[in-house]
Amino acid sequence: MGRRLLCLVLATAVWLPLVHVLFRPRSADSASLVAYERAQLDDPARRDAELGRIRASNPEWDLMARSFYVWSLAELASANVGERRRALDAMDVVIDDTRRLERERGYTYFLLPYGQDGAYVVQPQASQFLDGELALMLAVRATLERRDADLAELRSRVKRMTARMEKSPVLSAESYPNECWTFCNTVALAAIRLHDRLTGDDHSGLSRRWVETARKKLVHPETGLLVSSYTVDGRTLDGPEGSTIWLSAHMLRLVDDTFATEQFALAKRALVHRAFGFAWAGEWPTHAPGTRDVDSGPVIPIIDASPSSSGFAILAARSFGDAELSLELGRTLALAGFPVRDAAGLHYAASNPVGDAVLLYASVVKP
Amino acid sequence: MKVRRLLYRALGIAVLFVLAHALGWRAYLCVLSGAAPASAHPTFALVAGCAYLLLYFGVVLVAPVLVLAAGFETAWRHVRPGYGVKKAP
Repeated sequence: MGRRLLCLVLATAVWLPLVHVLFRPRSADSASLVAYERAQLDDPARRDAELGRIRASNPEWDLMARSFYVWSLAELASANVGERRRALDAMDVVIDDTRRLERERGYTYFLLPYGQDGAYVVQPQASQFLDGELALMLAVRATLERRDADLAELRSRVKRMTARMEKSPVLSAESYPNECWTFCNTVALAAIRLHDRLTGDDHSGLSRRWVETARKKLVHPETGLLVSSYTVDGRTLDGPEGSTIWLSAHMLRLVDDTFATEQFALAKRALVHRAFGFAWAGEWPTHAPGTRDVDSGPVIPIIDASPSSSGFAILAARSFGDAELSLELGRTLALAGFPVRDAAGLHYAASNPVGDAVLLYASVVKP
Repeated sequence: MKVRRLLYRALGIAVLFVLAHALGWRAYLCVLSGAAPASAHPTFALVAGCAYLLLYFGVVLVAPVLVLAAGFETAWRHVRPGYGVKKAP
């Protein structure tokens, strides 16, 4: 019996370090991911069905899938001039449809139901989630091709966002009643920064004060990581979370690269797990355990693997040029993301349209 | 545990995985992302998705270990011919 057990232990010791060789990220994946997203866009019935499916789980994902797709197209178009016209046309379809939905259904259309309950502390009511993501969509589009109508709308949204942020002691606007999210406010700050580049306006003072305030009031004391959500006056609601911090660090690169890099390094230390050439990310640091919700998604116990946090970690690793972590996370995606390659392109069976859009963005984002 | 039993177990995992794959349970892996399945009762999708996940990792991680262990055990018997042979009382 002892010898047989020894054989099993030996076999495990031989096999586990070799598994990663079978799961390598492919360089052509971004093109296949784009092809899949385009196939969805070209087939409105299919896309509506997919978006309807994710809306049943979380209406926020509808907007996020759109945002990450548009941001991805902007990255692609900026890297490939020949792709620009096609990308711009695709971006316009998504942006126009999103604006139409906001106009017809109101800003709560993309919010969870509790977004309609209760009054926002800062008036007039608006959601930083929608304003920030749509503003960044408009900003990246305008970076590629300036249109007066887009710039006017961008300016209007930036004016509303900054006015609401200035009314908060922690310079943050609500996405939900008395709920400010780091995710949304860092997206908004990135949009404001791009807006300033496009228009010549200057909101650098707000950005600088936001970072100073965040360092003092919005970081978790034990980990140094930005908390995920807080009230308008800065009381923490949710501590640091992987589904927030990776994207926030990426967005903060446009605002304060030093702070962004610090947050990325801290998130790596607190959330990343590595074994046998693979890496994955947890949702909560050990010192700041949280509870599962619609943002965290399922978290695989024992190994503390969060698909949501791991997907965003790929984006951050590529954004910050961490090739080793990017490779290890990419292997895990190839192992546990269950890639589906068909005539339409590439998507992941273990993911959903917003996850696919995040992974697309991760595959094209530049360090 | 006989060598053949190790191989049967590896084969069993592989057959179950192929069966789950043929039944289309891969589509239910979307539950891992918190998304509702396109067409199935959520509880069934959760069970089928988790079963597929376990079988997949069984094929990728466990079955090769069983096959390798069977190989090591066979090699051991060649090196030590008396090993594993029951002696008469």
